[in-house]
Amino acid sequence: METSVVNGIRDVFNNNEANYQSSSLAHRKSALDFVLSHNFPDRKDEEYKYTPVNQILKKNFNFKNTITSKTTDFDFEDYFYQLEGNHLVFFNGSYQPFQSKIYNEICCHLEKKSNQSFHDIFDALNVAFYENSLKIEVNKNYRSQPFFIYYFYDSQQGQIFGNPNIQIVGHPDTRIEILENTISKGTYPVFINKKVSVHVKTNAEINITKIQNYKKHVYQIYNLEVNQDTQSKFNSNVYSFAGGLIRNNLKINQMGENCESHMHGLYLITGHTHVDNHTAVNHTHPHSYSNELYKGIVDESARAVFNGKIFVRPEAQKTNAFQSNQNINLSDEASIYTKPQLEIWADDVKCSHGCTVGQLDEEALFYLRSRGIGKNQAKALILIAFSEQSLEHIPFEFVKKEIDTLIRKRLIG
Amino acid sequence: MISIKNLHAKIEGKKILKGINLEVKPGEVHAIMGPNGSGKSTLASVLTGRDGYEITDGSVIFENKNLLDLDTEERAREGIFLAFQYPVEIPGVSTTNFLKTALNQIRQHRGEKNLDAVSFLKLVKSKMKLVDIDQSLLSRSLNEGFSGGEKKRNEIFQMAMLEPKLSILDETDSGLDIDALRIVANGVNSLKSKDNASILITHYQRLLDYIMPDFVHVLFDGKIVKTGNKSLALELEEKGYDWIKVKHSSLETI
Amino acid sequence: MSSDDQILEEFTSKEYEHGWSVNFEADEAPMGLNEEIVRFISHKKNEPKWLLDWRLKSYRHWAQLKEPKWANVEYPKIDYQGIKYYSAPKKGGKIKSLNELDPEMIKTFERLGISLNEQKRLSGIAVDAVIDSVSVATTFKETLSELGIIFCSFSEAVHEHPELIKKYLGSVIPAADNYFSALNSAVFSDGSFCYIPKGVRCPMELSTYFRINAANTGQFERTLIIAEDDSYVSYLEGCTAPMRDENQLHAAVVEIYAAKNAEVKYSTVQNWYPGNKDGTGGIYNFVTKRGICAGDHAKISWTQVETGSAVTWKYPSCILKGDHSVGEFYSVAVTNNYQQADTGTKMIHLGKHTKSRIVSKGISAGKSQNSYRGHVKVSKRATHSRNFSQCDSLLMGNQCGAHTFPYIDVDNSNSQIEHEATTSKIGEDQIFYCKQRGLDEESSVALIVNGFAKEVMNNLPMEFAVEAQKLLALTLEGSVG
Repeated sequence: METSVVNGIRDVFNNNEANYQSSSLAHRKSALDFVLSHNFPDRKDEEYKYTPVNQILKKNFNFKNTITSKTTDFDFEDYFYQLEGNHLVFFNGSYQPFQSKIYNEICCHLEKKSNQSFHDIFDALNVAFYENSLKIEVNKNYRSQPFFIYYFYDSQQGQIFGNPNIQIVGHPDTRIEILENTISKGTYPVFINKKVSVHVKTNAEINITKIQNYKKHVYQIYNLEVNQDTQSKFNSNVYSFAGGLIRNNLKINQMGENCESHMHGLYLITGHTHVDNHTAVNHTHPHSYSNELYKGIVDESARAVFNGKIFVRPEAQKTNAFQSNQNINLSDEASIYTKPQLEIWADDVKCSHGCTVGQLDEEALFYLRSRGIGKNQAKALILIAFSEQSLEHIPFEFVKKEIDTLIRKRLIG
Repeated sequence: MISIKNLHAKIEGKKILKGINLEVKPGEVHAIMGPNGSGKSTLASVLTGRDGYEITDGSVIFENKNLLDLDTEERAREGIFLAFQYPVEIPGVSTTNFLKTALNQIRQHRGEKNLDAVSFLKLVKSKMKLVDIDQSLLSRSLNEGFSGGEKKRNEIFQMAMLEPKLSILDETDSGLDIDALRIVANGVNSLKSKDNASILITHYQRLLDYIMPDFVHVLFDGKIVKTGNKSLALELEEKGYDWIKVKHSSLETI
Repeated sequence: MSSDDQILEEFTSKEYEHGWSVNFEADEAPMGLNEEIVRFISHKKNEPKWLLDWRLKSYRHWAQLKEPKWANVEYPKIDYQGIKYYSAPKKGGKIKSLNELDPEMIKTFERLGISLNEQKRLSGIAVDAVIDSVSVATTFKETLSELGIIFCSFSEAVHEHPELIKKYLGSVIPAADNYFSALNSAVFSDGSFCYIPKGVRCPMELSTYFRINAANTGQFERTLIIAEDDSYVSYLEGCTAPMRDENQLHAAVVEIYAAKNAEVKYSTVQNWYPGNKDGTGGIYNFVTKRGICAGDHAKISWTQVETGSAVTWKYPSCILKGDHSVGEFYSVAVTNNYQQADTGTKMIHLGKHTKSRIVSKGISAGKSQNSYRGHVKVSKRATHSRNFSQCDSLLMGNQCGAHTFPYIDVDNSNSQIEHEATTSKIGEDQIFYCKQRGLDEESSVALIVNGFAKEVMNNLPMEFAVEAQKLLALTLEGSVG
């Protein structure tokens, strides 16, 4: 890592040190050492080949210029969905229990333990810098309302470096629904480095839906790691519309039999938005299932990256794993990089993957126009139909509508 | 030709055949009828040596050989042919190629020379007419994308090609319309000789309108509970299987 | 097809068929690699200075490179100083007619099923035979030269056609392209050269047979094929090696240049010794193959059947530079026991309306690892391009692995790319069906596997298809049951 970056990161840490619990300092420092002894990934790193974070950060973000501001003119409640549930507020990366509106008090608390493990530089960066960790935990026989998590960032005064940290545990036979949304103000760059770990215990189900509609100076890395026990179910839905950089790492580790994992994604991007979805599912036990569908429409100078990995270990016989990535490229300035990857060590399995990169279906367009529909309208209809397939798995009706509106706004204008 | 004595068989610990006795002589056609789950298809599987069936008692002698000692392919080479109820698809392997391989392995077993390409083709041509099968079907991947009727005709075509001693037709009539049924039956009838025999496994007597059986057996709960001639099949058609069920269950309770 | 019968008839031999070695007297370089060795090889071959300089430059570049580690294969570190980089059968050298050939050598090729005797003309194939590193005989030369076709050993071409070699050597695969191509460029000893003039359709299949014979030697051959405007050639390559306990290195380079409207079909049946059942011995096959469709409407088609080698690292690729040019890659890769294969292709679309097609069939058995690695790149300029890729894997048993790593990069908005992949196993009901018709288990497996690979096999020239089907069956022998 370059000296200037090292110094910048170190400065931020020293400024914050007083706020960290002294018991966590040693662990934070070891995470910091890990960060400083590594480089932010660039083109030479296979996992970041098409998303050279190092260059992107260097160009757009400076740790030295970050500020830690606690005050804002945001009125958080204005942004809450008008629904019963837990409305959880993060501000500039830190959880705000007193600004949140909590329905199921027992389910949301600050995690005291501070010995979170880290696997890569962003993980470590989060562990070194997060201000507090929110733990969402639902116990057996407890019916919880949905969790709406709002991430607010105010960069009106200066650059913001936010490190949200959340742990989610679904105990046996429970069901958790989570919706994440991000709202920002200001024109200085924001670097979000989010870390969420999920544990879905036996026979439990967790759904996470993410809406990523950032301003163009927001750069986000999101590490979501999921562990699944026997007979559990995990659903992830991610909708990306805009931002300077959106990198989503989704890692699912199936640790028991009969696990089910669903991953759905949609990216509709224009301008210079860069969206990169990296997913990995590790099937380690028999009779497991995973299903993945990511769809994207890429216009103007936007870039989309997809990398899906499916591992089927020798013990994971009778596994069914499907993966598909479908792209429509609308512009010669846009780029699409996709790599669907299968690694299989068990013979009695059904696995398939496919990916396509194409254009608007000219046949369909012609058909619609021959029925009297105007060209732009016809184009929008086709693209909407292509996109909306990915809405099927959202557990909240109103979110479906909201995303549908976003899709239509984006595609029809 | 084949002599089945007191045959008992289990699958996954469940008793399916509970003492089958059946004697088939050359030139005979036997029909085995019975309701669903009576053990008809199990009998076909046991006779051809499919994995997963445990023979717990009884014997099967085929042409003086203990059939149960032989592997599936050895039984086939000895002259047992099963027309499958659900013929399997093998992508990329044409019917012609498949049959040529099979025929030559059977010929080798008999100590005969392999057929050269010309004589094989001649044989194919002559047998094709029997079941009215299209040449193009034979060059396509085995059973892949075949209609139900095409699959069944292909089974009979293979039977014609391999000239077995004993043919077992497992629900060959199922899923066939009348025209297809007639074609299949014609094929079977014209292959009939004084030296070979067949066992027709069927649920309905419809097939027996086209293929005249010498004996009709009723299989129920793993046993042959009644044997007769063609008229038994008609009686079954008229009264349904409940008649047998009631009768048989009442026998058991006595 | 009668070919299947032949497979079944010859199904009985169990071990690696070509696993014998013959004692020729060999003319060898001392072990190890340095500038002196490079000079030694160049001197042995009486090469012009420009070629020696090219070799030395390659060597210096190689010496600075690190061996690549990204492939999904594992093998012990290769001691590049423990290899002999040149071994020529002593009686080889310059041969004016086949009568001068060492009778032992003729026998060697006859055992491989290759006739060097032009009188026999059995197969109607022109053969360039390469033992260890040296081309020992080329058949049908005169017949071909009447059409203006040049087909000879690489060393001969250096002397007879230096202008062509100078122009095209390293033009598709620069010496510095990768670790193994740099190594090859420094020490390559021989190989085949082929030139098809404008408007000529080569009337027969051209073929090179490679055989590694001597112990502790690496084989570094180099093939260069140039097809001028409107020409056509179909080229076959076959390889075998004796069974030896130690690993042997094979690092070849094949370059193809296809001008406007030219078509080159390159087929390989690779059967290097794969090592024994416990994974001892076998060839390390690290090969760089690339063709360029330099002119519009040019077409390059790679077909490969890979059954051999302990470790394979090979990506025959096409640079589709000319507009409307076409690249194809058909591959069957079979691995058994402890074999590892990381193979696939690159299709680089540069010209407009370019098309590529990839069909890859991987079959893994035993404890082997089989990877497909592909890269489809559509550049901004390559408008209206198409690619279709199909990668299927068949697993036999649960101690082996099948891996798929397709990279797809698209930089324009009117190209259509499709990639599909499936993984399956041989169904028990398929085997039962075959057995009920009288086939034994191994024939059943051979039949089903050949069916799985048929799309690729159909692209092989007839003479090779038979051999390839047999190989497939042999490689998988004993892996089911």
